[in-house]
This record gives sequence, structure tokens and C-alpha cells, in this order.
Amino acid sequence: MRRTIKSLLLWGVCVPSLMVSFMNCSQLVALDSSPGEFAAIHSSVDEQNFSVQSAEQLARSMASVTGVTYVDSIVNEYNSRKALMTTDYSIESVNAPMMVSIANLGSQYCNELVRSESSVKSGERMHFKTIDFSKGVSAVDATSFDKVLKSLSQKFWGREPSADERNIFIESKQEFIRAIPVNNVNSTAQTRSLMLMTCTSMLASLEFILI
Amino acid sequence: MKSVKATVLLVTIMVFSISAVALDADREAKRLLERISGSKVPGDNPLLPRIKKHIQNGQWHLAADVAMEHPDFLNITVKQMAQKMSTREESITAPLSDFVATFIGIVRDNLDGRNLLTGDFQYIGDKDKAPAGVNIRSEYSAHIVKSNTHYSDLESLKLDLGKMLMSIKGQMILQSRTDTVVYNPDPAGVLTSRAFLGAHTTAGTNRRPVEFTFRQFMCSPIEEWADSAVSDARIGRDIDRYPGGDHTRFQVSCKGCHTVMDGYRGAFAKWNLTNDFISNRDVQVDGNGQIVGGVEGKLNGNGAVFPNGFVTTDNSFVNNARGPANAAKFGWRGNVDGGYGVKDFGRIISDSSRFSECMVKRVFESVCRKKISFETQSAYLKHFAESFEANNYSFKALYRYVAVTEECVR
Repeated sequence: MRRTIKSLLLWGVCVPSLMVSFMNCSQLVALDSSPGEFAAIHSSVDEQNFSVQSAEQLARSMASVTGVTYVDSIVNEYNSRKALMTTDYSIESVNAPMMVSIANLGSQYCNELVRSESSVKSGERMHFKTIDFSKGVSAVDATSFDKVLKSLSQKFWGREPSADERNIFIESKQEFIRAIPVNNVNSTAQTRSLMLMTCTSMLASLEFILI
Repeated sequence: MKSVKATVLLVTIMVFSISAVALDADREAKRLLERISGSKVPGDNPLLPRIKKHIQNGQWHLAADVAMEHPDFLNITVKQMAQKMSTREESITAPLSDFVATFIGIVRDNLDGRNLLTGDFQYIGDKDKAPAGVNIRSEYSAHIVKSNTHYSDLESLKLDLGKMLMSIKGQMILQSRTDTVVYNPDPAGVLTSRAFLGAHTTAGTNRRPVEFTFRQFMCSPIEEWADSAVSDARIGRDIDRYPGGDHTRFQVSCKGCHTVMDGYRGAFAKWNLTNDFISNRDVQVDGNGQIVGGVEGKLNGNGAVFPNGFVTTDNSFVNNARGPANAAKFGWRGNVDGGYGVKDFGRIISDSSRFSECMVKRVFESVCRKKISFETQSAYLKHFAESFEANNYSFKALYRYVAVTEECVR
């Protein structure tokens, strides 16, 4: 129990820092600027407005990308957190309680995702094919972790993680492992916690919550 | 300490880790779908290949049509637009209600948008379409007319409103003495919904439904249409003509709003919110089973304040927003002198050019999720208002064109 709490505390520290990190200001659509015509988009430019997703938007978005159907734990989390989410889509409305709420909501979806995938054979999984949930976290090697990153990133962000983003996750993973007490390194619960942290960080990132 | 150091390092790296990935058609398709649906979608969403194909062919409007097939277009984008218009708080967190459901239904079924203010129907949930284990309480009197229970049940995250909603001909209200549900004699789309009348006829003097009709459907707050130059003959007895003993104050501060607002107020004279249900005098009966008729007492309350003021005796109204400035702003069409009841009022409002421009503003703000102003972008609003009307007041057509414009995306 103490171990679980410790690992949760660790990802409580990591998730907020991870979630604000991934904001892909990539090139976006460009438009016909002919005066008075209001024509449709036709090429690419590098400017686009963003808005923050409301509680309901986030819940539906998270369900959509994780493929997780609504279960009581998610509905309960949603109901207890929705009052803290934005009501005007404004980036100025983002604050610490909102970010924590989004992380908590995301963790419920990720918990369900990890739970469902870890209970089936690797060949039947979507994101965690390379993870052996019957072993401790030390069995999660660089290659298998990288495949998880790519899979989640493609699904949640619609793109591969950048090299910098990948490095951040690798460092977080190492930090996570270092914080585990020696006698707990082989705990399978830590493997699930690592996957939960990785998934939640992506789902609660700015890249995901902005639309 | 190590943990803190690592976190600081991570944050530092991450701040500088912003990547620049050129957008290809895949990503453009994904962004368009997310803008219109209001939700993030996975890269393997089945709509994306079709959207991408249209984008590659330069057919952005067709791409937008496909994006509107996403269930969250109705469940989020349209729903939140309607929620914001349904109550005094003007918040996207307003509950799902008959107002919101009917708005969604009109968009989904591609009906003439003027039905919002004139339609004799409403949308409710089809409980037979609910997934196993989800109970939608649907008893008309208890769960729809006397409370919002039916719509609260429908608001479950597990339900797709686009599939659940069905249109019911006529609008039902309560005849309280007999506790029976009867047809609304003055149906006017969402203006006579329980949510709208509940929000605006509770307490007060029935001026608020006029104010909020203009606010929500003409995008015009009261201070913008105040006009001291038109007749004050319709101003009620409860308005002091000598506030603080000074008639000038009435002329300067009060009259302008009340000339227009009180002119229209008669349209709502028979409506009230009583014990959580909306009621109309023309269906209420007395102890002998006779129709009560007449107008709500609050229309003529505080009659001693200015006894020579206007006494409301029926649901007639006059359109006093026809001074030069207001005539140009609202663009009235057809017979706009006045009428009887909310349906006539809704017809006059929805036939105006300003209604169309306001709906462009609403759609823009719902799909682009940013503000647009009449002051600085009137050409845009007028352009798409004409398009809205040319497409039989189709909200879907409006979304199709607005969502892919430069003004929306930038």
C-alpha cells in the first residue's frame, strides 16, 4: 500500500510538469485572404487559434482516443471535477486546479485502458503489446517503452513524439524507477503505474487539451 | 531533492522542445474534424480518409460536411451553443433542456432555422434507443412538463443525442387544475420552451423574455436598441415617470429601454412560471372548468406608481424598434407592426436580417471558439447571413461554410 502511494506521489509530481510540456505549435492551415470573399482554406500557414476544451469535450475526447467506454469511476470523477474545468474555452481560464482535474480525469481513462490491456494477451493489445505486465518495471527496456510512446502518441496526438518529447519521457521513466524502493523493484504494480503515468501525461498535456 | 532537480530539468527541456511538424493533408483533416466535432479524435477515425480526400481536391466544404457526421458535432459543438443561449447565466454548463434538445434537433434534421422561434414541435429522447442499463425517465407530465428530469437523464455521457432525440409534433404544457397535459396554444419554438420561459418569466414582469430574445437571437443587448424617440404609450403603470421627482431622469434613463421592451412585452402576457412548470392563461381553467383567459397579474402590478400608464389586457404587442437606427440594425421584413402572442413575436424576429446575422455569430463562436464582433466584422456576418438565408436557413450549411474560413481558423 505504501509503495503504491509512493509511486502515485511520484507521478503526481511528474504529470503536471509533463502535461504542460507537449504543445505542438506545428504549421497549420493557411487561407485565401482575398478581401471580401471569405474563401475557404487552400494552403498552409503557421498561425491558428486554440481553445481549451470544456469538461464534456475532454470527457468525450478522452473516451474517443482511449476507446474506453464510460464506467462508474470515470463518471464519478467527471462529476466531481467538471465544475473546475473551463466554461469559456479561454486559454486565460487555465489554472492549477483545472490542470489537476484534467490529470485526474485522464488518469481514470488511462487506468481503465491499462487495466483492460494488461488483462489480455499481448497480441490482443493496442498500445502495450511490448510490455510484460507479469514482471517488474526493470523488464521494461528502452525498445519496448519506445513502442508504447509511439503508439500512445499516435493515438492521442495524431503524430509521433518528437525526439525531445521522447527524451523527456525516458528521463521520467528513469526517475520513476529510481524512486522505487529496492525491495519493490520487481513489483508488477510498478509496471502498471509506469504505464499509467505515461498515458496520463500524454492525455493531460496541453497538446491534448487544446483544440 | 533529486526529484525536484529532475522536474526542473524536464520543464526546461520541454519549454524548448516545441516541435515544428509540417502539416500534411492527414493533419489538416484531423484538425478540421476536431474543430467541427469539438473533440479530439484518434488518427484512425473512419471519417478522416474521406475528409482528407476532399481536402486534397480542394473541396473544403465537402470535407466539412463529412466532419459534421461525427456525433460530437451535435453532442458538443451544437449542444454547447444552445446551452449558452438557454438560460440567464449564458453558460455552456447549463443543463440539457427542452430548449437545447430542440435546437440540436433542428440542426440535425436540417430544418429551417426560423423554426427556432416559430416551430410547433419539440424534441425529446427516445427511451427505446437508450443502451442497456440506462434509464430515461419519460413520463410527460412528471419528467418533461413539470421538471427537467427527462433531459437530465438524457445528459448522461453514455448517450449520443444525435441518435436519441426525436421530434414530437406540438408542444405540451400543463393545465394545472386538472393536472393534465395539453397542447400549447401559442407555440413559438424554443421561446416557449420550459427552459427559456422558466428562466425568464420567473418573478419579474415578463420584460425579461423580450430582453433575452433580443440578446440571444438578435445578438443585441438592451442598451443597443434603446430608443427614446419612439412612442411611450405602451410603457406599463409600474414604471415611475418621475423617478426621484425628476421627469428628466425618466426621459433620459428609463424611457429608451421601456419604449421598445414594453411594446413587445404583451406577447408574453399570458405566460408565467408556476411551481416549476410554465403556464399559459388560455389553457388554465377555473373551478367551473372555464378557461381563465386574460393576462398574468404581474403585467399590471404596481399600478399606483403611474396610474395613467399602459394597462395590458391581452397578448397584443407593437414593434417599437423601428426608429431609424433600429430599423437599419434589425432589417425588419414583412408585416412588422406588431401582433399577438409569442409566435407572432418569434416570426417578426426570425424574419429579420439581424436574426440571420446573429445566427452566423453564434455558429462562428461555437465552431471557431472565439468572439466575432458586429463592429469590426460586419461584412463577414452579412455575407454568411445571406448564405444562411439562401440555404433555407440551414444551420448545417452555415457550419459548412463558416468552419473553413480564414477568420475562423486563424
